[in-house]
Amino acid sequence: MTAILFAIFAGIGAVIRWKANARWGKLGTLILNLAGALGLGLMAGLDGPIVSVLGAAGIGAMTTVSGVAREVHALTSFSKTRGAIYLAGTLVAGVGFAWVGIHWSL
Amino acid sequence: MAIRSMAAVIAAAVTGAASRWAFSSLIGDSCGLLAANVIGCALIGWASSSYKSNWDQAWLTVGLCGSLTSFAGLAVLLGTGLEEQRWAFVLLWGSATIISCGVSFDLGRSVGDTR
Repeated sequence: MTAILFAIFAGIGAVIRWKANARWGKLGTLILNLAGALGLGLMAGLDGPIVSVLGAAGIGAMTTVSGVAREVHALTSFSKTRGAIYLAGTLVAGVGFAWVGIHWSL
Repeated sequence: MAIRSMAAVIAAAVTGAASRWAFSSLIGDSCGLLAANVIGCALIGWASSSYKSNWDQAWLTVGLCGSLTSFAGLAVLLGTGLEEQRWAFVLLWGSATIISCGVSFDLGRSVGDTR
């Protein structure tokens, strides 16, 4: 049952990211990455199948590092400053959101 | 076509997420996540270097690479380090991830460019 839910949530997470990126571009990826960091941080106190299904599969598939790498590359080819700001902003804000989530964890 | 693309993205996403989970189970949470992120960045670098159809872009970059890598996992790993005041770990692991993912992305692009 866990494996089936894992597959369903991984698919849902990826489709949400796909649609958000198609609609809002880099901003969509950024919003999902930050929301995912907060959400996974909130789950830090949990254990068991819900972490595998909702955390590793759903939130894991919804957020992406490879997408950030591609977007940083695209921005850097246009302006190195913008690429650096996007990378630093994503990382600092993401870790900050995760830390807030961990602090408030369930 | 839309349904076909969505089915391909979902199938690739399940493969990517399951591979990330397998890496974490085999070599530990931190190292498994790093390995998944590095491999995903190399793959997306390769995919973005050479011509790919929209179909390939969808399943390969959005589905497989996107789900193989996890930003939330990385952020929580570093956030936990902050919470536990392990400053050196946060700095070193964050730097190692940025550098290794950047290098693997460029390597992937280089391999794609030579094809």
